[in-house]
Amino acid sequence: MRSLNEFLAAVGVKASYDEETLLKINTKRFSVGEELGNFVLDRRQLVYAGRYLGKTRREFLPSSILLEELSRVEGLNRIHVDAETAWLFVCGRDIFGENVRRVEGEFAGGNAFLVMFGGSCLGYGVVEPYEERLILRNVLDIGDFLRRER
Amino acid sequence: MAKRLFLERYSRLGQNLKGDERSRQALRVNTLKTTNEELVARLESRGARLSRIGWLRNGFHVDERPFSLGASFEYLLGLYSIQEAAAQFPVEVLDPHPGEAVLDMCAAPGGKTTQIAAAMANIGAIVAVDVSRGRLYALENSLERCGVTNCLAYWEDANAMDFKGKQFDRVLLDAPCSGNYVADRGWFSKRTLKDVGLNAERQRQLLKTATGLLKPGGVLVYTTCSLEPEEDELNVQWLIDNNDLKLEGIEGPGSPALTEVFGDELNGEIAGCRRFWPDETGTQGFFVARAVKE
Repeated sequence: MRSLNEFLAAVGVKASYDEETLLKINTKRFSVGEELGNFVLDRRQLVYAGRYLGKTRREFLPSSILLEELSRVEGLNRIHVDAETAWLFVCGRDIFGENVRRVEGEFAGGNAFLVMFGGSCLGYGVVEPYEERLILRNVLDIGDFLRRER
Repeated sequence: MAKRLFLERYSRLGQNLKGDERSRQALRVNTLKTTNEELVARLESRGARLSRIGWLRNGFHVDERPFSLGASFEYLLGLYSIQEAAAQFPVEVLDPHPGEAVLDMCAAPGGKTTQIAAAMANIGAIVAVDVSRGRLYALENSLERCGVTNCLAYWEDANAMDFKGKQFDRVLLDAPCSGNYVADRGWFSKRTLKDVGLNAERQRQLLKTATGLLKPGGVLVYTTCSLEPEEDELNVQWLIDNNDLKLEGIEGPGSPALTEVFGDELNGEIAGCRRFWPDETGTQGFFVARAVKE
């Protein structure tokens, strides 16, 4: 999933963005409304703009802003976990299938899922086989805020 | 040596400080994502104890916490920011509203920027500028973590930036300053009066730029975390002497600002600014002024 739209499709979002309309700052993608757009002065010096959607590294990494918005959309792929599993996930760990408390969507290889705890989205991962069972491989979690500060 | 020098200066300004005052840990509830009541209930259910800071809308002292405030689910989800009490006051004085255009001139690391966005309910435009790329990374993280969607952040010196004729309803100038000893235990060994003078000069340049970027009737809030009058009252005196700005009195914590500095009488309206002496407020040292462009 290298692009925003590939990520959105993978978690079950039916709509897509016209990526040409997004504001690009290096690998980051932003959505900027008209009112705020009036204050886009020098694009070369801009480091952040409006609604941050995410960035592409090896995979598309959605922003926590986009994840929170998606957590309120009906019908997307989600797994719900308990506090212990949630904290391990935030610390960068993968999630074993047996630790998933509730699944919305088909927990099958290749599918992407938002990870939910107490109504909040903590990140997302992709289902992969691991020693004859399935895990959710951690692609992005909100613990990244701490790792970025180091 | 430097400690004695600075403490003697404060004493000549009428404040006998020990030089070892400390501030209490505080947080600010992010009203873009939760409410005071919800966050307090959530943190207290996990063993924390908070007490409301009466002079702030969304500020709480943290009296007890069995977990790291900077590494909790609630922090990572952007439900609160760790922000010292005095540092929360300037944005309350700025009083931004939804739909306005607000300039945050020396914005990084972004605590006040996210506070402005919350006051504006993410409606309107915030232009945040900072000259330090390293500190802007922290601002970017804060904007994302707190769910801010109405901010443009620029890596630029606000004094040199081409604003292309744009003007703002409100400008926050949280100026680079000499700081104070409450937040930095090594402060006395690092600071000299020469630093104070150089900072004051740069602050005047920023004040001049800020004034030019305000719409008529627009509000400027000038703030520092310095206790040095050259960076505070004397700069405000310079501001009103050299620009079409009128000071507005500020209600709230702290003391009236000084109107006599080392024997020099200042404009009496400067008393309407607020000065936070650490021994009186239990916070770090701070200074806040509010002026309106005529």
